[in-house]
Amino acid sequence: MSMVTEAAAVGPLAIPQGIQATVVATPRPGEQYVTLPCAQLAAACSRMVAEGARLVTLFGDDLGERLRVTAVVARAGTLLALDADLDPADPRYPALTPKLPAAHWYERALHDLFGIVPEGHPWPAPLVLHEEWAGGIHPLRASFARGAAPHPDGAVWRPPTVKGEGVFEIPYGPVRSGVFESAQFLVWTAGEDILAMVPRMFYKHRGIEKLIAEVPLEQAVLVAEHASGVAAVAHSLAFCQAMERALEIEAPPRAARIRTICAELERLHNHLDSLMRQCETASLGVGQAQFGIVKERVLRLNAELVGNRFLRGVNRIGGVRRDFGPIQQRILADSLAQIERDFGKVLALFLGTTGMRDRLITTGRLSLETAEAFGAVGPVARGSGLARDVRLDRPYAAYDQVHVALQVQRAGDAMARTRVRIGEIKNSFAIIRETVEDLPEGTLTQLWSAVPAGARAIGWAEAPQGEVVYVVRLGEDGRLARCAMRSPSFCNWSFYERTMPRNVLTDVGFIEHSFALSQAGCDG
Amino acid sequence: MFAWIWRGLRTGIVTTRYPMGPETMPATYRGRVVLDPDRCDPRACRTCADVCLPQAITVDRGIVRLDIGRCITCGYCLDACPTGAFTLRNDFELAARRREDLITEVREADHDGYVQIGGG
Repeated sequence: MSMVTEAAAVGPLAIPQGIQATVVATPRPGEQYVTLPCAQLAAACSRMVAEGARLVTLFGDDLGERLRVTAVVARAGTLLALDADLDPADPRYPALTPKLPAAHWYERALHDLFGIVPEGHPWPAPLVLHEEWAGGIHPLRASFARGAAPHPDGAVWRPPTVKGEGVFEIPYGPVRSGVFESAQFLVWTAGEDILAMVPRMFYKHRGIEKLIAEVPLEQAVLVAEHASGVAAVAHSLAFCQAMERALEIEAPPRAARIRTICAELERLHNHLDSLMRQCETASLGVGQAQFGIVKERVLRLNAELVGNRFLRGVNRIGGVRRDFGPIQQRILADSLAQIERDFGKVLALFLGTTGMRDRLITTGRLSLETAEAFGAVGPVARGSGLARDVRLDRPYAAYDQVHVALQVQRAGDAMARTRVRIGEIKNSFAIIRETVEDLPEGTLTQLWSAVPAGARAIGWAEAPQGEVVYVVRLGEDGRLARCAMRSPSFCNWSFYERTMPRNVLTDVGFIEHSFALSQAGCDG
Repeated sequence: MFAWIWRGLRTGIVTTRYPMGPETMPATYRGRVVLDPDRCDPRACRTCADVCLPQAITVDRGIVRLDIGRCITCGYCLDACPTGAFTLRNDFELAARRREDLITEVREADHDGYVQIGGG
């Protein structure tokens, strides 16, 4: 099995020959916008992917007189946005999915939210909108008012079924034990073996992309920050960086360092949560409690440093709102040393527990081929041999000044994903120490005033769950005209069920917690 | 398994006595937002309402209404208020038995000053 890296592909990302593309704008090095006929979008994307590029996101935009589909592809630190205009009277284009499975959820969402038809999609069933949304209502069209109540038209959701002697169908969710977020997993089993699974998400779609474009830009940061509660820093950071690129400003060096520290603290509490839940699923009560103690120490440290356990209120457009003065630096150094010591002791016990390892090894295998075909991101991608981490591929904040140790495992099972997280926890301690040691003096925010109408930009960050991306287009009124949010959980949930066959029902919990995704972030 | 038991015993009790005893958050923790009626003139100003994303603060006909049931403790009102009428306390026990107890209203009174109704 070979290791595939985005950065290893050589040469700049170029439009394949025979594609009639026109360059619209190159606002910054490594970020280009081109327009092409919608009939050629699928061919252009699949050929670039065949040459080592990756489909980052695919979204719609209602520009009033026309509808547009934009695909963003990345390779070797370069981003290329491909715009294809559609006829608003009959918005359709040849689907990408037949050649690029990674597009399958994006294209179903495009149909639900914009009424755009990706022709030739192998399973064009509703994804985001459930049956209480009557057909013909597309909430991301400009004509749809946010908050308008959906109404059903009598349509009934008919999931695919698996039939056969001794086959049981288990509808697990959307209300599940504990405080799990809402999602339903339809599971078919024969005995203990899982035959198939269909996840159903988007129970709590909040219309974030609509809301974020209606509020003043400073408040839009708060919307991004609340898109996924456990990834407040990564979401607000990706959004702020997109805005900073659009406004042509840059966060001061001190702010970039503080952002990096907070992003790593966020990685710590998320990864520790994943380990805690693995123990919980294995009924390893002491392990669950011990990792829980370590995670709680991180959350309390967060509250002490920035006033919020989940690090909300740190990022703003142009910089940060909280400083790390001498007091915070000392608290951070002291607490982190203690947390790291405790983590090391619990980790040794965790890895030394045969019963625990048995449940993770060979569980929920995701092959390199599947991970790549479906555009996996984060620890899920890295656990299957994909060397993909935007902190290294396209460094942001202060990541170009610190040592990020890429964690890649080849096995693709729950243990591999867990080992990736363990490596990242250790690396996060090192990054925080390195970053806080020589915090540069200076301001915390670069001020801005002018909002260039029509400017577009892409921002990204490596959340604990993987790469989060915001693509913004500024409007005439000093607000956002369009903000497309793509969470890592959306990417990784889209192929989650492919890890299920050849596992038994009691493996599901381990697979879910080794994916460690956010529902809210996916639902949007 | 014995190693885990030993680890658990060595850790001892780390849970606190809360809610039997008080639990203090760091002084910097952003919990309850408090509006000082003496510093607020809702007839002349609605800056706080304009920066409040969840519309926890509304100003209507000279009445400012603060609903901590909607507050996300972002602190934008603190930064925006020209008279410094808002403070964020480290109090995290924000639950109330009645919905209206989460609401503070500051309005012009009959006499020379303001009265505060509910909450706070």
